[in-house]
Amino acid sequence: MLDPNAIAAAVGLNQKYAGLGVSLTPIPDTPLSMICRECPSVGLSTESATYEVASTHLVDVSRGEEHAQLMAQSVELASGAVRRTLDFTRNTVYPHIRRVVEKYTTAMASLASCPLPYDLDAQYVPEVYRLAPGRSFVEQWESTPRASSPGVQNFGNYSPEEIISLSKLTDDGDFNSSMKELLEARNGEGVNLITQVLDGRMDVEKLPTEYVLPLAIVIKNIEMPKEGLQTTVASYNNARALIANIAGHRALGAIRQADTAFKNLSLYPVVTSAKPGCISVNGEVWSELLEQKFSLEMLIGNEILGRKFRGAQLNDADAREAMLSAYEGDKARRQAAHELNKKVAERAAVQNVLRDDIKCVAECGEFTVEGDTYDKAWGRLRDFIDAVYKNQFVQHDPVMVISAAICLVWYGHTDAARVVDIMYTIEKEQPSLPPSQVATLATLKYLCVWVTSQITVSVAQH
Amino acid sequence: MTPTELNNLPVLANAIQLVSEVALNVIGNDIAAEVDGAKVTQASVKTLAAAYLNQTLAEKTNA
Repeated sequence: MLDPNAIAAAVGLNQKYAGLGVSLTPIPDTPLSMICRECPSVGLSTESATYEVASTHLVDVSRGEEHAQLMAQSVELASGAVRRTLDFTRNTVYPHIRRVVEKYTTAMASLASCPLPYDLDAQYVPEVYRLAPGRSFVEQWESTPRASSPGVQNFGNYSPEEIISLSKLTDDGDFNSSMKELLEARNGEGVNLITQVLDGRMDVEKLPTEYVLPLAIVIKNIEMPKEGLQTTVASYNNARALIANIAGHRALGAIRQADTAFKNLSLYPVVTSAKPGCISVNGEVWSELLEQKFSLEMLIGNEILGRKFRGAQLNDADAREAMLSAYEGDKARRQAAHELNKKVAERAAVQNVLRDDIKCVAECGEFTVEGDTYDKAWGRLRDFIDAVYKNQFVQHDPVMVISAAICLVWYGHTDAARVVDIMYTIEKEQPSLPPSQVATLATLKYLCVWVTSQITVSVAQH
Repeated sequence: MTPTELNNLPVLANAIQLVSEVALNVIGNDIAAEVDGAKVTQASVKTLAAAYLNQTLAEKTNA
């Protein structure tokens, strides 16, 4: 018997398609045509028929055993076929697709984003150079001339703990902990280099600027020669004074330079990074410029325009606009190039993972299509990929391309391609649905495709 | 009702019933019996079937 709920569910659809002038006729000898034969609407006149009358009539005429039997048989047959297709897709086709998609994802991982072709090297003066005890300490060399380098000098061997202890300037806890942090950073680079200056392996002039203030303090604090050191007190003190003078003057120079750069908003440091695409800036000035609404985009825009930042640009609306436009234009060009590269790489990766898959299956002798060889399967696959990517302006979902290709080459003799396509479409439309519910909806859609294939659709010609 | 509506109604109603009964048969054994937190019932499966039938018929009509 025709279920009144099925008739009720059909009313909206019926009005829509009749309104479009669409006639629906079951294709002879299909399960649907046999079922429909047992509940004809003949006998109703259009004048008297309402949906209520038609529903009652259809329920009445389908009360016979024939309708129920045909429906039951069709349900039985279709259920078996659908179950087999779903099982095969779930247990064989999907694992196969997943395996190939994983390889594709790995191949494409490096192209996931469009990296900025510029690096920022912000050079900050270490905190100890900015704190009052450090600044006061170096002022003692302001009125003394800079000495000439005496070359390497040997003050004996000092342990890392001794260097940290000797680098304390006052009882100022903030200064001493900043100093310790500086000397122990980068695996104790500061301690290591100062040790090399003290034991005569490194010339003070070669010590990186960030460590000259710590060295000057350490030298000042090693008042007595280490036991066993072959030297006189006078020459020891003379060497100490010379090294302290050079380190102190270098530290004083660094502080003055940082002060002047900050005052004049001089963005670029004296020593810049040699790395291509790397923009070196004075850290303190950079921080100050960010406060004044300057930005990384403007800095890069300036580089693209081949200009260097000048303080006047800060309040020049045209200059700011030009910097941003240059940045945006460059970004758009890079993005377009990246997209193009990605498309080319995407197609190559799809092709490669699928070809490797065919090779693998061919080597295992597991072709599912009778008489298939590597060459035949690869030929079909290559034609498919060529057809998909023929129009370079169309964006394709690579996972769907891989799925369709696998279904075509390996499982063309089944309905797996349709099930997979329906599932992907539902997943895209409702990404939050759990897989089990996607499967439910996919089953319904798949069945609707099947039942629609049993209906002739004719549109009335006006 | 128009003659087209009278002609199409049993086709659509039987199609919906056939899809729903097969789906329930398969769902009962194999797959999740709920969608969006609501249990798939005799009544709701027909509404879902009608919605998907609308899609597949539209695809066929446009093709």
